Amino acid sequence: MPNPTCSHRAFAYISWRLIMLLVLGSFVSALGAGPQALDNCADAKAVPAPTYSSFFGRQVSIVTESETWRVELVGRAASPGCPSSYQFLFHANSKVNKTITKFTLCNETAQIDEVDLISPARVLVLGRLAANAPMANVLELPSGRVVDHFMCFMPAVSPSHHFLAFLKSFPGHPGPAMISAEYLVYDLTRSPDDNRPRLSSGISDAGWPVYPLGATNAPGSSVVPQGEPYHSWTSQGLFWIGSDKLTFADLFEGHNRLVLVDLSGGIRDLRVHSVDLEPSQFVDLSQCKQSFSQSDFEKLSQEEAGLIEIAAIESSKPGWVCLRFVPNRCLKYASRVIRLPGDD
Amino acid sequence: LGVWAINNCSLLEDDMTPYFSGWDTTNHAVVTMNSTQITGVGPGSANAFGSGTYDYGTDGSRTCPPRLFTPRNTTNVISAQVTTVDLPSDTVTVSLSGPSGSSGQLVVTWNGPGGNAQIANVAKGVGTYTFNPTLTNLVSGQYTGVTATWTVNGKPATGSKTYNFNVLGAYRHSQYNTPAESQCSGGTSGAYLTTGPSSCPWSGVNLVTQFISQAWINGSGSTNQYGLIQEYLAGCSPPQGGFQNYFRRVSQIAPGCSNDSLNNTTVAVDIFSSGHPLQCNDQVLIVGLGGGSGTVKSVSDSCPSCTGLLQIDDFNASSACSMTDLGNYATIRINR
Repeated sequence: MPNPTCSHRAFAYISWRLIMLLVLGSFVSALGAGPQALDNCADAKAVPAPTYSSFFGRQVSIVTESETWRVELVGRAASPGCPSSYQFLFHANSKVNKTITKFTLCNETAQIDEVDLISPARVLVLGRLAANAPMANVLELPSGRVVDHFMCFMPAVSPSHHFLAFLKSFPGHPGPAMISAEYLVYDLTRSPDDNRPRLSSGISDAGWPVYPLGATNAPGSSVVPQGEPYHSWTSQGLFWIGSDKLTFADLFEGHNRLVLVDLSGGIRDLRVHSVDLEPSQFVDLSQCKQSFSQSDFEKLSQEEAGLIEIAAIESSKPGWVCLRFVPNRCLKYASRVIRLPGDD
Repeated sequence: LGVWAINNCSLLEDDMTPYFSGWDTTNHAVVTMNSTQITGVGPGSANAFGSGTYDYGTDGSRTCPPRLFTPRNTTNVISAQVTTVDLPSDTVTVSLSGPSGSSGQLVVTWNGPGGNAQIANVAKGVGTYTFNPTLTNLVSGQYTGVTATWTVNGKPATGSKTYNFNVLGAYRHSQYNTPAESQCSGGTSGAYLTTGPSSCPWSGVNLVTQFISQAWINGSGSTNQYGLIQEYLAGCSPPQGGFQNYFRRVSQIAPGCSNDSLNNTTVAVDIFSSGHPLQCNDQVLIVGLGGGSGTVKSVSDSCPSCTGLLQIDDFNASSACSMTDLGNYATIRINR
């Protein structure tokens, strides 16, 4: 006999899914004319390397603090009882209560790269299980109790530390298969259950899919056979422009799109806009033909849109963003200010 | 070419060229000539000459018989050859040839982007010279070979050798492997195994928890009881309830590049991006890794998580449960 609660719950999730699809369907825009572009960005800024790309195998000390908390990673010790064989010792200093609490993290995390405080009393510990396997741990303060933990690729914390954006995790070496990117957002202030959308059957991983439309974050959903179309990120990370607007670039079937996810209505009422980064606006193959071997040039000529790789996306004047491109002799510009999609 | 002679009467130079023919040299292996040009053939020294009969004519009481002249001049031929370019051994060999005692400035350069970076700029005489250029600070981009120019008495001799390679820049070299369950520690957890590929019956098993996550991340593993496993499902759907803990039992690991295998000299890269400079079967020189000039490895596997990053994942045949990074190394594609 079916459990009525589960059935109701499943129905509720299906309803949510339908509503979200309708919302996405209403707001996803693909502006065929390409983005409105101005000129190059004003000042070149050094783009800090993401912490998940640092050397794996050396633990550094980490401290973070806010007006109410100071959390310090004070050490890592071998611990065969922990799944990673390591445990991490933290000190949490409550500036309000003037107390110091010690706690340890003991799970699959083998190295910690970043610690971010979440208001009012949580801390996000970003680390890695292996060189290519970032893991997010959401801990309660001051106890250090693990509220949630999950694997995530290219994690990016929003400026207000409210959201964590990332790519759905996938095997580092999937064999003769392709990885199709699913872009997810986790609300760091909500419960683990609130962050598991369960858009399809089976256990769902953490994070609400925000792109592409129809992504489910179901087990195995991002692994596709070779030769099938797949989504691939063309920005070297996910970028927050403000506390609730996420941007990134995605390549699919020859179209490189700048995507804007507006989370001002919350994680369940998001709005997604996208605009094609037209190769004709950014790429000039004639200026780089001599820079490549013939085989390289033939390969890259087959998918000009894929040459538009973005190192960083930064806020510009309202409604506009600065795209800083990965240096490439085929690109017309080093950077470009363009109008955000959906902000016409 | 021509022959001029001093006229003893006028003390001026007269052009005697029309009287001369038979332009030749004393060593055709060094130099050849015709009436219009002298052509160096090989290094060395030889005489270039012309021959002609000049008829002085008669002057009343005196008769001068025609007389054969063979004016000649010493011709020196030098050459510069780039005989070897080999990045894995970090050697560029240049051979300079010419008459004994020839000496001049030798400039050896890479043919590549950002101006042709110098390998050497030294005074050298005849001989063979081997250079060990620094490979760590080459400008990124495509290179086509090496050129050597040897200038003796203001006359340059140039030689080149084609050698295509692409300097990718400084890459982070992380490591992955096929971890052995026996090398992992801690408790056990449930996992799912299937045989595949045509049918996908899933079996629930218990494996060491750390091994499950490491095998998932690395894409493969070696279990204590079930042999090799790989995350690649080959058409199987994940098991109901499975979450980063389901694998296919395999007889050998299938990497991203077909018909390839994994060992200490293979690497995984983002092989599917159109803009990525590496693809299956490319060879890379990891400058300085392992001592000497570096280590050569070949691309055999895919690394989706390397996409957008200057990162290469090096396979390690170790069965350790986890691997650390090798570090950042200048990396050069050496096969094209």
